[in-house]
Amino acid sequence: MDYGNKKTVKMEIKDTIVIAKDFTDDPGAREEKDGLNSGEIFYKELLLPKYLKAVEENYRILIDLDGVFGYPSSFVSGSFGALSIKYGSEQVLKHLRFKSDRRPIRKDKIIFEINNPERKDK
Amino acid sequence: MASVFPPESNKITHIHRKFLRLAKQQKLSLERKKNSKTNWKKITFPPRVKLIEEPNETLAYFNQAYNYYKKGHNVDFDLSNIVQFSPESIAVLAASIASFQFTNRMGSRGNMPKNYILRKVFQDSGFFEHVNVLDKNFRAISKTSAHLLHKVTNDKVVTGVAKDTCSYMLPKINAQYIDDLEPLYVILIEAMQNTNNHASGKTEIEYDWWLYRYLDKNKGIIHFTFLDIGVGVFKSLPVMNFIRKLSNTANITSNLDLVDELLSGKIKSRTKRKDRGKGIPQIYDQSKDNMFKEFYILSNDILIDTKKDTKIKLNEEFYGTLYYWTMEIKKQ
Repeated sequence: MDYGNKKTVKMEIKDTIVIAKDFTDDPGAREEKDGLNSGEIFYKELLLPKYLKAVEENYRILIDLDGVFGYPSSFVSGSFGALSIKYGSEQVLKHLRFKSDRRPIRKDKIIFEINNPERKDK
Repeated sequence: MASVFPPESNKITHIHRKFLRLAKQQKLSLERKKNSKTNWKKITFPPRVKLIEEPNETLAYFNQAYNYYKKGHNVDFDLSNIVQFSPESIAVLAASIASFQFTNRMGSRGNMPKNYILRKVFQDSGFFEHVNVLDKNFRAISKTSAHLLHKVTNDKVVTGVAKDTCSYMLPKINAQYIDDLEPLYVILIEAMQNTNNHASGKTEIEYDWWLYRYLDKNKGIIHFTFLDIGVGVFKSLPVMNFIRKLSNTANITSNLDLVDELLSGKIKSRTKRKDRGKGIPQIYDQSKDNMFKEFYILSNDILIDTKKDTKIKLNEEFYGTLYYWTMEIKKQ
């Protein structure tokens, strides 16, 4: 299956994050103080630890975006954008793969944010 | 020789006491005005009130009430002769009367429409949960079944409200998955985040908004209104800063000239909260989805029809930001 990613570097997918099951089906805003299910919480508790492990052991994580009401821009910015700011878009996209059969446009939205992260201090 | 003036510390206490006395006098004067039986001004609405269809005519009534409040009068809303009151107008009336910014902490009261159908619409909305009514025999419906929701939260986005609204719509539009409701979900979250009740740009932000859902069974249409009463987009800090930063302001003759910049996301928040400037462009993009039959944004003196990409400058001002959209029920 094509997961909508440009490069086909041979790296195994050894882990998955199903956002609807592993985190929530109603993502919230950017920061923890903004309310429940924020991008910051997702980043700190799930995305970052799994990403660091994937980098260390040189494998990919498949992120399943389906089964969720929607991804507000601030949530995407507070999670995937934050990861990209810290580790660089190239490195992040090397270790993450995205899947959304129900709403493929989601992949584009998240990959765009990773390539163009909005810095808070900009 | 002893000074005729009080010592410094006594002077401060003296001034402090004077201020306290003045504040107390002002409070008493306000209470007197509020409780006065003669300090009431009446607003009699016409038979048809339709904010989006007739914005200038409708806003004139709200602004008349606003001016009465500002001058220290209480306002008596006469709704008795109304036969049609559009859903977005109901939401604006409830939000305005419940807002201290609008009422200047003066008193409000009102009667109910004589028209039975409209009376039921008001009752079902939960309007009278938020607004006092003179008819003592009237029984308001319970808050849980009301479709007019008012939330005040400190720096919190309530995802549950967006989720519940999407779950309600899921069978109505024959959607297969919750994912299909993404445009609606994102609009609600962005609108909540974008409520801008003050222009000060302080970091402690209060989210104070209203959401009203009205099902028109005869036409098979669901009307949504999301609004906040406040400074409005065009008087908010990001827009004011944007204008200040322009090297040539000659081209900005009215708020109409700022609409394209606003919708394209060129006007960004200069506060610490970067997500604050992104709300309206996101809402505008999502509003293009076919699930929305109509979609309007009203703020200050600007009304935007996002479906037709038209914008008009109004003669009357709306003190806040309102999003109004409709969704068609699909037959099974």
